[in-house]
Amino acid sequence: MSRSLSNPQSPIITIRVGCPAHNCGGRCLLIAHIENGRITRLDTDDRPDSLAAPQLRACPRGRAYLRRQYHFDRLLHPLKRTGKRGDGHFTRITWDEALDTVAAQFARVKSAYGNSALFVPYGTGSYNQLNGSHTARRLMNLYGGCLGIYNSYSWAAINAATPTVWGTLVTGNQRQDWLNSRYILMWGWNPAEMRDGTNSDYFIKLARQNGARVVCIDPRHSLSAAALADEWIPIRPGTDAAMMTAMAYVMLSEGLLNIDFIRQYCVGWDASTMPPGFESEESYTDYLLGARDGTPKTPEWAAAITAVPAATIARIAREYATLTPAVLYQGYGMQRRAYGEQVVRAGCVLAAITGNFGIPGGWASGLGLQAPDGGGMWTVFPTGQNPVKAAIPVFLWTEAVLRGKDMTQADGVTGVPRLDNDIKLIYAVATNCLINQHANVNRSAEILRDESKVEFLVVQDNFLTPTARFADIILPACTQFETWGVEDGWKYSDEVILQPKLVEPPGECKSDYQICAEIAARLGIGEAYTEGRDEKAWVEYCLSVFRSSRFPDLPTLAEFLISNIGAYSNPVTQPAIAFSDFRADPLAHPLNTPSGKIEIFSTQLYDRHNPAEIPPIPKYIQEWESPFSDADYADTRGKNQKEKIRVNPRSFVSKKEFPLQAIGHHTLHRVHSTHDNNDWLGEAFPQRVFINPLDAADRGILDGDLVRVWNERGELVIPARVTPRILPGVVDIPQGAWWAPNETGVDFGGCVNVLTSEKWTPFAFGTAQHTIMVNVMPFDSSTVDPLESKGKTVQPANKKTGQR
Amino acid sequence: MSYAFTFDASACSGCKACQVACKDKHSLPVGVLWRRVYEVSGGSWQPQGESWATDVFAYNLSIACNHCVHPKCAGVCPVDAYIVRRDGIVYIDESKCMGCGYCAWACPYAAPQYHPELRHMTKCNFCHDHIDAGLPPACVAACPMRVLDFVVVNDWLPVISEKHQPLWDLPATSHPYPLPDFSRTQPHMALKPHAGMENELEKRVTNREEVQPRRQVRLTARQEAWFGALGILGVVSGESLLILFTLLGQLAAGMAVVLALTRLPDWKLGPFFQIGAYLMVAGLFALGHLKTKKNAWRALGHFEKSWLSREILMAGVFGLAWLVTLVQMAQQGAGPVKLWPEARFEVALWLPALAGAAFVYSMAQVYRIKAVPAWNSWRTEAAFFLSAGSLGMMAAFRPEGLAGVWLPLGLLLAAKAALALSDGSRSFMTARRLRVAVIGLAAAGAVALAGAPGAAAGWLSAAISILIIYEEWIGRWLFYTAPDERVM
Repeated sequence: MSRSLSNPQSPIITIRVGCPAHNCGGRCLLIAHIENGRITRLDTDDRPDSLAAPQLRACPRGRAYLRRQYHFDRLLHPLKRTGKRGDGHFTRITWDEALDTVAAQFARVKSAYGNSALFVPYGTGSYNQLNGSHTARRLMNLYGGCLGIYNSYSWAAINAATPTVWGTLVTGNQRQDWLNSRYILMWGWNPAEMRDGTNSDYFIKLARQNGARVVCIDPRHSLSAAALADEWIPIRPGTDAAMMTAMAYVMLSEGLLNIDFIRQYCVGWDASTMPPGFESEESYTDYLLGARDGTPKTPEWAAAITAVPAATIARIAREYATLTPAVLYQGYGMQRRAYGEQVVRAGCVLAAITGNFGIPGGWASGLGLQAPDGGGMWTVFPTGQNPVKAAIPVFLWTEAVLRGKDMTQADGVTGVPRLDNDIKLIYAVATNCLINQHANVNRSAEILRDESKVEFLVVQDNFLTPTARFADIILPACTQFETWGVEDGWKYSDEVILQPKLVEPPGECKSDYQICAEIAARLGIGEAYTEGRDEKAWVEYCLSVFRSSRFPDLPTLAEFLISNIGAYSNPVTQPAIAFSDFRADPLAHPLNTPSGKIEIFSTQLYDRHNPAEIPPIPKYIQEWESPFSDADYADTRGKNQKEKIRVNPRSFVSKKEFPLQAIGHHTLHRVHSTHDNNDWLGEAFPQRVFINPLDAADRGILDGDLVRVWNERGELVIPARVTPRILPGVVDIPQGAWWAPNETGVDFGGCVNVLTSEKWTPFAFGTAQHTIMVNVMPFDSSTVDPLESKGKTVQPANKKTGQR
Repeated sequence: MSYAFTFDASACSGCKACQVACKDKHSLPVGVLWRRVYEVSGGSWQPQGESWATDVFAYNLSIACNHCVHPKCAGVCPVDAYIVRRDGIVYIDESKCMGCGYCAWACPYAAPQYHPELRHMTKCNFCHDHIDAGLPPACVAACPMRVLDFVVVNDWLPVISEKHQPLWDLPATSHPYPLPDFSRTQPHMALKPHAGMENELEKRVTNREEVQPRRQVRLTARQEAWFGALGILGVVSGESLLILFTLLGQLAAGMAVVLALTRLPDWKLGPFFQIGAYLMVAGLFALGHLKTKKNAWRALGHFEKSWLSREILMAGVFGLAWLVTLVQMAQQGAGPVKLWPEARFEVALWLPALAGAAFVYSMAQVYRIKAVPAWNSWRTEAAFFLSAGSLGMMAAFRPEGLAGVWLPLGLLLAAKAALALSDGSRSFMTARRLRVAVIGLAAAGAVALAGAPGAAAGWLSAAISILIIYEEWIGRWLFYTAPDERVM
């Protein structure tokens, strides 16, 4: 901790500190100015800036952090629910009462139902090594375990689908290598807003300066499209796989591909490369040419689906195939959709057949964890082994509440054939996923309101979030500035960043670790939990793990503190290239796939025996809620599912009840739902529904007007931003705004999840929250109807939509 | 040597880290944006078969104070609160500012902003504490895309890459949108254009609510139309005290002129006394609109450069002339008033009238600033003198009715209607149309006065007066919306 350099007598001390981590995709460095025990200012990284080890400059969310840190709404004391669950009435209690209650409930549920009735949900509201839900996971694991989770809300489909093609998630080169590219397709990828790794947007800028042509394909003209791209191609949400398929068709039909090369590296391309035993199955070439289904996947075919003109599709295909080496970077939004697996696989196949893998300047597509070792280490803090073998996909937690004992491997259950419990107790640490961030908020709220289902819900957070409003006990956690922590660089990890404790927590707030340790003590596992360490000692421990793996020369904690360096960077001078060994010699370095090759045709997927939804080759599949079909409403209103409605771009007001697609991009206002109450960020990026002028004019909506956005699941009211920067027929409601229902259930906070569906993707059991249709109309305060869904019984998703 | 911000618009993502870092560095509340980011977009959508063709584009412009070669903010400041350092950095000595807001109008780039907690004007100071310590300004150090920077510029050494255009060397008409083309300040900013800046398509700032926090009252178009037309927006506009000051000041001046023109032979103490009363109340409103009143005295010292100081001076001269004449009237009783009893002429009676006219003229000059093109024309003087005339007539003839002056009043109202009709502004059209209709009605009433019998004329005069007060209130509020109509 150095005194201010300019004035050694100054009472201000400046400390370099990691920006509090919230699963934003960035890991940045701040400089805190501290005066009389209070942080008064935040600067960002001032270390030397180079290509190999660039400065970790924080985005506005980090720079506005003091508005969150010193927010007047911080939770300061433990609280106990007084009214009905979800009504939001609480009374202050002591820590002893709170922790005794929590420990007693843990013990009660454990003895009454068993450990598998306990649940720690997915949560990334606090996300460094010493803060967040993994502290609770360690507690549970030591206490005999709890129902496990796998997947994430972010990456479910891409996590599951990437290895079906490549055998690994490590498909990405180190980012400095983008400067070697001639052509970069940012496909549904928006690094300027979601921060997919600190500096990813900056590296694209450098690549462009180095001569790369950058094309952005996205329904929104995003900040990335404005700043990074030479061209923007708007595409209808959920149809990306159709454009990718048509691009492959163009490459094939125009002879842009080296077929011998493809046969050498891939299986499933054509009849000659089908895996043994599957020779008679549909190959990718068959699919492209329409040999089996009679529909050649021409650009004209795709144009009608994607809204991208056929000539544009053909041109992009030629550019990507010929301007090599080229990057096709897949964003994650398009895989949080009905058939999110398909777009991931289709993108990987494009990268494979054009030979853009294993070479500098190329990119194998897919998840793109960083070569050579996968990059960031995620959880270094030892959570231990979960004695409960059963695990569910994170997105299906409401199913496990409603019908846990009915859930089998058909519902994505792993570890056991069938769950032996419903979820009865939820310990929600640093998560707003129970209400705000999970699909179909009104449904989740109704599930949680029923105290016979989840019998006890404890929430640990900084604020009274929409999730915390449903708690039985609320435990006030401190922020990451108020305890010790350490983080490494998220997906792209070439640095370790220290987070020293800067200031004392306000009120009675405690760190996540301390709260868990005190619960552990009450459960008789205090010693096992802490191993005699406090947070600072665990930081020392985590540093030693980093030192023994990716960062051999990492300073000790003492050295970090004396030098006040804040972040330690491993310079990347020779960016690693994924699959370079496989490319050089595919026989000597086979992939970790069943065939050892790139699997355009996946026998793993074939074995699912669900070709309509899990085809063994990547296909475009029309989504269950789509502008082309009323299929989703068939369940409730008995309409003909087969009926297809051609979208006529000239007619904006459809006769359909919900004619508009809705997406929810990651806004710079928030990290998911964190920072929603940050006034400086709300000023910079106010919550709006973005709507095209054509759609707005048809509805008599002017810029700034309050509008209703609704579908059969819910309704919200927020101001409209009329902007040409979105495809007609699509509206965008940035995800993460806090649910703020009025007494009739209409949300005035702008929470897109009142509209989203709890239905999951077929293969990954991942979220498909972006696949929704809505309508938008001007808001008239006299015509707001109470939500129809109020009082309706909540059904498990599979009962409603048909078992897959 | 001077400092200049350099900005690469071609790669600015619009993330606003600069804006937020600035707020953090200077502890700025919501609504005060020393640095802000304009989002510009344009282009259209054409159906093409079953797909969409589009030429939609967008770009961002991050802007704070440009520390101009000719800083107009400093030029117009009536209390000399602005400091221009030898290195070109322009900042405000906040201990001197009286919070009149004149600099905010005069700046074409919306740099000076009112800070409601400090109750005075504030603006970007280039983080001169950082500069003096050898560090970059907070916004520059913040930029994640490394597109915002600063340089030292000298006449002999322009340290700017070839791709950056030094805006201070280019005529404002060639500055890219949304930078105003009327600026004469030579902003110290160098800009590398975004491709979207160079196309011929129509451009629009799409995030006005994010960059013009002044207009944060969120109303629907219909509400805005009717609240405007009813005069409610004028009440809540933040300029309501200025509206009252200018209208009452002009009423007083107009009354002095009208009385001098029509009542020369036998002035009465009563009506003449009212002039001073109106002026005094106007002065109180003027003082009331200053946010830091204790610094108001400083405005008395800068007649040589600021029209706002001159306006205050002329108000004082007007008041003094009125007082001198009033004293003479009181001493000499009814009848012709001379400056001193032996004087041959009744010049003294014209003294307050001339001073009042000069006061109205100086008032108009306050608004003759290049940064508000809608104000910077003869129309401002015309509007102010027409207001003075009609309000003055109304006040001077209040006891006996307006029948005697129906013709001049009707002509004034007709001129007003013509002025309002030829106004090119397109905002608040409901209020504008309604105002023209009301003026027409008042003018028709004036004509009707010519033949109206005594009792009816009294009622008619009262009705006309009410119509005039209404249309003046709306008109002056609309006048003050002109700065908000600017893109910046």
